[in-house]
Amino acid sequence: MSYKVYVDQTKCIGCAQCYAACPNKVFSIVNKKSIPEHADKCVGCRACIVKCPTNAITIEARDVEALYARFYST
Amino acid sequence: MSKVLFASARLEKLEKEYSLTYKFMKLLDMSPLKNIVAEGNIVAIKIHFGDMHHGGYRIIRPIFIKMLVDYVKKLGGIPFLTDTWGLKHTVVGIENGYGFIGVPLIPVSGIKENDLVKIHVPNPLRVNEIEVGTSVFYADVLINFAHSKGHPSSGYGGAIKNISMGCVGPNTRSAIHNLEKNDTIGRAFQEGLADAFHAVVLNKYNKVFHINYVMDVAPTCDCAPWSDIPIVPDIGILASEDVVALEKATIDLINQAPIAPYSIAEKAGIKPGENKFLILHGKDPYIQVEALYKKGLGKMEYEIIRV
Repeated sequence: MSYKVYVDQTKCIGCAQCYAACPNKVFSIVNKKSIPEHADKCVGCRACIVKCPTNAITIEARDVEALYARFYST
Repeated sequence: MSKVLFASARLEKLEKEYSLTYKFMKLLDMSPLKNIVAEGNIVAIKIHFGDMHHGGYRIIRPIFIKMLVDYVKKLGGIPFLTDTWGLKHTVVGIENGYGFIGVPLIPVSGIKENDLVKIHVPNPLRVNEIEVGTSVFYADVLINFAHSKGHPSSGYGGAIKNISMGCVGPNTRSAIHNLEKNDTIGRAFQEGLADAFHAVVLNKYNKVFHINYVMDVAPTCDCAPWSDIPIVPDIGILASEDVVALEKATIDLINQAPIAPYSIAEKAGIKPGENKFLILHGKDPYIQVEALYKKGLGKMEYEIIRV
């Protein structure tokens, strides 16, 4: 099960705390901004969200791809 | 055979003593907590502070936590509430009403999850090393107050998962979630949970007590940004020193229960007696229970003591 990761480029200050914290190496720092280059590797541990000083990172709820999503309208 | 205390949510008589709040106080009085909490002990009460965006709202009602806190204080303990995800999650806990209970809310591993202790897992099934949050590691007592509900990765999340995912750092959460790729039934993930659980309780022999809040048994985790109608009618609160017996009893009771109208369990056509979480999530929730049993952390046989 993979997550979708978003970094708001207007909020990101390029501090790289997400880059340093992510156990699955989702982020790259390009031109002093964080890019979720390997978003498919995210498993939703939320280390990046916990550390981000500007609330720039959001991850889409994993449950939308879970098996029980079949009971809900799309 | 292990004893599991059970306070039923059903009001048998029109007297306050038969309401769940009063039964919960009685349950605490009957529990071994008086032998676990000693005068001056710092007592970590691990709960789930709730969804970061307040889409999910079916969490433990604060009054039950206040009752537990008051009981711990009566025993001479110094309680605090704790959960993972750093300070931002603590703020969510305050907003959800847990800030009015009158005890500190402390992140399990520091404001940004840097305060962790690495623990080697004895006889690991999947993960050799676990990062345990210092707020729990250094606490004298751990009271595990979990909300029982469904979970997409393990079918079910209750007392085991509250500790295994809720008292550890991001590297451990990631390592366990990475195991989801190993199989479709949730075996590797749940055996990873068992390793994490083992590491967290390792320095707390006879100093851990487990409580399952089997109310608002929602289809998915408290961390999801939504809540749906519970899949079964409210069951009550169960508690034990033996987490294996407690979780087995809890899942058994949920499986025996009738289906709640308008819930997704009704939509799925589930019948009472069927393994509800296996049908909803495709993950067999008993795997985590059996994994802890295999590790020698409890007994599968239980006796329910009604409060």
